[in-house]
Amino acid sequence: MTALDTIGLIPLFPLLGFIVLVLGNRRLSQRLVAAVGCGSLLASCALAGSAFFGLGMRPPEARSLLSTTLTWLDLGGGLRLDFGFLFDPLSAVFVLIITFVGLLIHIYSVGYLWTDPGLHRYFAFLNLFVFFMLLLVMGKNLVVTFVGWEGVGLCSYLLIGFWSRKEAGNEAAKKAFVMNRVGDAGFLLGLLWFAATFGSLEYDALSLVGTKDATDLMIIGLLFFVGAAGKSAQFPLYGWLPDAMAGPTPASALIHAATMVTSGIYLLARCNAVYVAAPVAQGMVAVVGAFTALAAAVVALTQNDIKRVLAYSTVSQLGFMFLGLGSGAPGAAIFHVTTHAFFKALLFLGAGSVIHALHGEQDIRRMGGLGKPLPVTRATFLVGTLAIAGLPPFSGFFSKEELLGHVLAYDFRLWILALAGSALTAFYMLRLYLLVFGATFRGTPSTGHLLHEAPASMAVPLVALAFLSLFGGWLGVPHVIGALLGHPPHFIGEFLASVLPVAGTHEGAVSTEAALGCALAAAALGASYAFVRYYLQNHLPAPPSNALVRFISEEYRLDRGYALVAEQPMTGLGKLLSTSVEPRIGGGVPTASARVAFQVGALFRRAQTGDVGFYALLMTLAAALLLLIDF
Amino acid sequence: MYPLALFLFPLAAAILSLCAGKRAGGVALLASVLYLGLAGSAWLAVCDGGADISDLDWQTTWLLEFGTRLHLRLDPLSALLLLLTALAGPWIVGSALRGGPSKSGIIEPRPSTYQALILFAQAALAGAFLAADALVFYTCWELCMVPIWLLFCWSPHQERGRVALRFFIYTLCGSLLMLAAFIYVHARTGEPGARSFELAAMHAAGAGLSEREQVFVFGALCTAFAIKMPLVPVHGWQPETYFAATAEGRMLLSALLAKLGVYGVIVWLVPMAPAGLAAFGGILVALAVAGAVYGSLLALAQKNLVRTITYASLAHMGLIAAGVFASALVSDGNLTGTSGLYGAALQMLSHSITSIGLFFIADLIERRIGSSDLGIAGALREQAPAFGWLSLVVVLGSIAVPLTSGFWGELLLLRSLFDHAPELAALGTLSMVLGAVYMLRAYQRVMLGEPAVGVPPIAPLSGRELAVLGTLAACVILLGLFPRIVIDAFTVTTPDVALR
Repeated sequence: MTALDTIGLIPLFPLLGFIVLVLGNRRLSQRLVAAVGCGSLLASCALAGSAFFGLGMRPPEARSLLSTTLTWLDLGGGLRLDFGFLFDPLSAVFVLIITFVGLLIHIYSVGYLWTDPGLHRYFAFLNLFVFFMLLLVMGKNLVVTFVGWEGVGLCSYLLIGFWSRKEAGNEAAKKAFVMNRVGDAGFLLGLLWFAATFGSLEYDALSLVGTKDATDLMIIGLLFFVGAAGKSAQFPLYGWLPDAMAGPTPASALIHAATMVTSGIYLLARCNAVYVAAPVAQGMVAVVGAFTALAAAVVALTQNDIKRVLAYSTVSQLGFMFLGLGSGAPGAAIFHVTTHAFFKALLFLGAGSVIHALHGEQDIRRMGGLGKPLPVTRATFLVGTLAIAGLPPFSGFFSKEELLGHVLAYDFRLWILALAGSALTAFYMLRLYLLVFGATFRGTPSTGHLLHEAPASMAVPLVALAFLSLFGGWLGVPHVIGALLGHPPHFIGEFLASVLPVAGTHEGAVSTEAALGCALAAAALGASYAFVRYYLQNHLPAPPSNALVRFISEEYRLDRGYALVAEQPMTGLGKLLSTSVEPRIGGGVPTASARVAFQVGALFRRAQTGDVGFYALLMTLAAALLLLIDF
Repeated sequence: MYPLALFLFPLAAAILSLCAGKRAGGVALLASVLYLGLAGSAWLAVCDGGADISDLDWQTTWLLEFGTRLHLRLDPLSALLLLLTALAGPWIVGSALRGGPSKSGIIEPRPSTYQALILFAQAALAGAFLAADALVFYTCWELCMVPIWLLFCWSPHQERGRVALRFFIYTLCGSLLMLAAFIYVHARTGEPGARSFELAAMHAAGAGLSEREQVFVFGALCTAFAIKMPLVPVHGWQPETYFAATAEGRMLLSALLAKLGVYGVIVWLVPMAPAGLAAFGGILVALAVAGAVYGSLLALAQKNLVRTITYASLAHMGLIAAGVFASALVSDGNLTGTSGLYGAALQMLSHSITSIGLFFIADLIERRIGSSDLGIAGALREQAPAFGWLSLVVVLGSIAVPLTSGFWGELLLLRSLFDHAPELAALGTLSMVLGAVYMLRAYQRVMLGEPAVGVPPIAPLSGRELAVLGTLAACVILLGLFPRIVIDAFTVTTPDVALR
């Protein structure tokens, strides 16, 4: 089991990469920066792969490895804040996604940011991000996870504001950090509640869930979900994610699509026992997830910035994952995390390739006809589009079917919502694809001449991710589809079974085959309507203009909502206090005390009469008083 | 002999640097570094647990007729605060040593008197942290004020005299209340002639008072300590005083003097009036948390970097006080081993480091641009990358990002609040969120964006500035990675020097 002794090294390599890049700074050549940045991920990915298979070799009941590296604090009473790792199938899946997709995105970044003067900084942050992300999913207790949790938020802040001259990027970075902090505050309170309830912060303690009070568990579950909603962009805390697209596109692909935003799913899956015991919290997760999935998909219909469409689709897909978690199917949610990591990273990198080719143009109304000059990008983007739309035989089809099957078993109404979201997804993704690659070029001729396909360092990751988006679904063929295909093994479900027992059955109001048909029909309907609207009509259709559409295309004016609910009251209160209360405290009390001092002084001055007899009287009285006090 | 050495060393160094004339700066810096070594070895002796009691406790008769003795001792908390006092020394002296160009002409390094006053303040603080006798504590407490007050002579602020006087009177009001409470408790330590100001005797006498008496003793002491920290609503002296003080004055006030208030609460207040604590504690915790939010909201409204940092400091001290009071309430006055005590210890250290750092950063900007108003400068990180990135580390420490110094303290303080009342812990996390808002906003407006029109690019950090800011940032990270180095002393000591 040598491969498993080295799990501690998996996060170490990116950390070393970060340290080398920070210390080396501008002294390192571009080549060296790229080599260190990608090399650390390569080492980490190789270790992760061998550890993954090492774990798979073990019998299912022995697939959980704990190690403690150091004790941060010992608080007595059994509460220790340890730094250490837990490597079990759930962490293993995440570790593999993070290191492998991370490696591909690192390689892609070399081509994308080659000429940027901040290349060393970019790779330093990206390596640091991978380090924190690995801590998050490998932590043996909630504290390590929390450290990684806020650490990835910090790296996200640094990378969104990577071009520090861009005011929009700086604002978006701050917004992301602050909204994540709101979620983190919820997570932290949940963590404290967990410590008070379980007397420990270790994940082991979850086995005692049966002995705990249901109300406590519900509150813990809800507080953790607040944290997850912040990090994984669920309503109402998703507003930071579309803005976060101001950062470099490969960073968006890694952080805001494939890995960091799925942290919330990880946390809730890890604490699944709490949600199983707290149906109210679980129901909340499902409802918020379904609502977000649909609401974000609706916004995605109206957006014209290629990255913004993808950002909203990420929010929406994360909603699906939470819906899965809430339906009591964490395994299905994790499966969707996996396929989503493949196709969403692919779509973002493809978008990056388009933006790169057009020298920064992001508006899809000024694109079109890019299929010819960018054949690799086009082909891989199409694979990603079909995968996210949930069409067979692409990976998204399998994971979404699995998920929808569980939703149907949980609640029929949420299933209908999910179907609607699924249809919309197929529509807006096909719309995006057709507007970018279909028809003819609508941009200015000058940019049209400069069009070029991505360099090899960018093309190779695209192809690799396209391959995974195409075949990744076979990792877990849902039973209902499996029945038609001679029951192929459900790798991911079986692998996760020791951590996430498959709960519930597929029996619901509608038979599973019919449900499968409905889901497929919804996706096909959305896709074909987009095809009719954007392919067969060879011009850009004007969007209907009415108040509702405007409201949606302005993203529900959510920013105004934030301003109204949080920003303005806080700053307003601060200003009010600083103009009304603070001057009184600052000027009032000291001035009053000085005035009292002067008045007391004046009083004593009156006692200075110059009459010796009066002095003698005072002296006698004072002496008497002293004697009284002493006895 | 550690206690006596720790008290006398900075005193001697102050006199020496006063006599050193032109070499005062070098002498002061060397002395402060040596003092750090001394405090470090004293700290290790306390951590060791096997240290001889005579090394950690020293006394001699002083004013025996009053029942007071010159009694100095080291326990884990005082050793930690001495380490903190010594740690701040090289940074503050280093900051005072900087000369060089500024917006308003060449700045000379501060004269020998200035250096001597810093060292003198260290000595007085050391005395207060070491004192095991109420009268010695009070004397040193008051002595601290003198050098701080005198440092205002070097302030460029127009109304420095008025501000300094107000600050002095305001805090003196609190101190006199404390003295009155000490004398009252002293009178109950025994028959006339057998009375004592000894810490243990005072604790016993205080705990033996009737509930009504304890309420008064508690009120008087608590007011004194709350003014020192300061806590809302007795923080009225703070904003103007910090604003008018020199950079080094701000550092001494926020990093060290404020901690004297917390120390007083833990060592003198809580054990001396347990019934008073039980009566007032609940209100105090709520008030302190509300104060933390109040400070955060005000920090949000500021348009000047120094004022933002000042209110941030107010918010942080509020949370420390809240955690201590909450743990004291939950554990019936016995703070030993509570997360409130550990959190306060960690957060005091972290807050000192970050506030020295933040005031240093503000001063750097003020010198280079001529103002610390937000929005005057921009893009400083682009112009001076080392400055920008090291500042970011300090800022992150201040907003308690994990693996920086601020995180563990805040976590433990919130835990102790949580054990007292979960809803107050929730309110406490609000100040954590707001902290990120005002700090990152200030950082963004100063360090990022486009360069301001008409402001020439700033000069990069000088070697001395880099040394100060670099070591500060290193401490922020180090403490974030290994918080245990602070807490271990509290757990491994022998019972007789353990926190009383």
